[in-house]
Amino acid sequence: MKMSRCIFPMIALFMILLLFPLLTEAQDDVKYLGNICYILDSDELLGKPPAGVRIGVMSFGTGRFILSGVLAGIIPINGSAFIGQNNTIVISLYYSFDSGGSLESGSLSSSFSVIYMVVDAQTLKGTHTTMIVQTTPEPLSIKTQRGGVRLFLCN
Amino acid sequence: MKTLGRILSIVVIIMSVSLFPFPAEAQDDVKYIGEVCYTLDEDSALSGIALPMGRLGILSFGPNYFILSGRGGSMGTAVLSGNTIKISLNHSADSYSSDGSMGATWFSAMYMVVDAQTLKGTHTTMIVQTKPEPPKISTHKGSARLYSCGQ
Repeated sequence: MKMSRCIFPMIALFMILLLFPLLTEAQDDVKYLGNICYILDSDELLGKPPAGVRIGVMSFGTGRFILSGVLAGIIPINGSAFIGQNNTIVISLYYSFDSGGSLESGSLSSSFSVIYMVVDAQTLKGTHTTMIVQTTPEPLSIKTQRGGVRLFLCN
Repeated sequence: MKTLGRILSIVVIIMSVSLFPFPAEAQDDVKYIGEVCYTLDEDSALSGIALPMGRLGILSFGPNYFILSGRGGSMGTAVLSGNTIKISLNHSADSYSSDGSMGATWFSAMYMVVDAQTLKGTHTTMIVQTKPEPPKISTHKGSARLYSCGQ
């Protein structure tokens, strides 16, 4: 009985000591890996260049990634990615934008968008579903586009 | 022997996942550089009504790009572009009434552009309220100001 009383605290202490480096490592381990770019198949078929998408990739070492960057050179975009099943990369991206103008005069054009991508981790090719909600000018419009997408290293 | 095989498989999977990065090389560390606060619509005629405001932690990973993470679950990106700071910020929330039933659910998308020197500018905020029904989407445009949270 006495023996077990000694052993359990020792095990608990041992576990804490084991886990402590992992916890501290998690704090220090967020790394900026670089930038990725993507191009939609529909744009590629038309010979259009990528729309200035440049997304910084941050890793915190768990197979999950924070994404943060700029679209079309001017629109901040953010999201996250993780390694999914069957060697895929699953990505969610969000951005909002207004083109200037005034809400009162009806000249304001504002929208927010959500992009969901699944790409093969080896070929970096896959599909995207993009939902664009244009809130002004009225009437409200919601568009959904689906197609191919390719990730690549930015220049 | 079987157990050893399993352990080795798990180690290989963990190593593959941690070694699989996006096709880019490790560069700089991400740095937490502090907090910034913002307030909206200070110049509007909503006297007596609490102004919308927020508090955002800032992570830097390059000279011009910043990750924003706010209290209450806001998440976004800021980009320093010339003399302006452009911000995209998303937020979702719900509320419950006193009897525990769900009151309202909504998410918002904000686009903010502020002058990098004066820290003043404009915001356009789109709010999608999914409850109570019917769902509604509204757009607000007004002034925005960033400031040091210590002020």
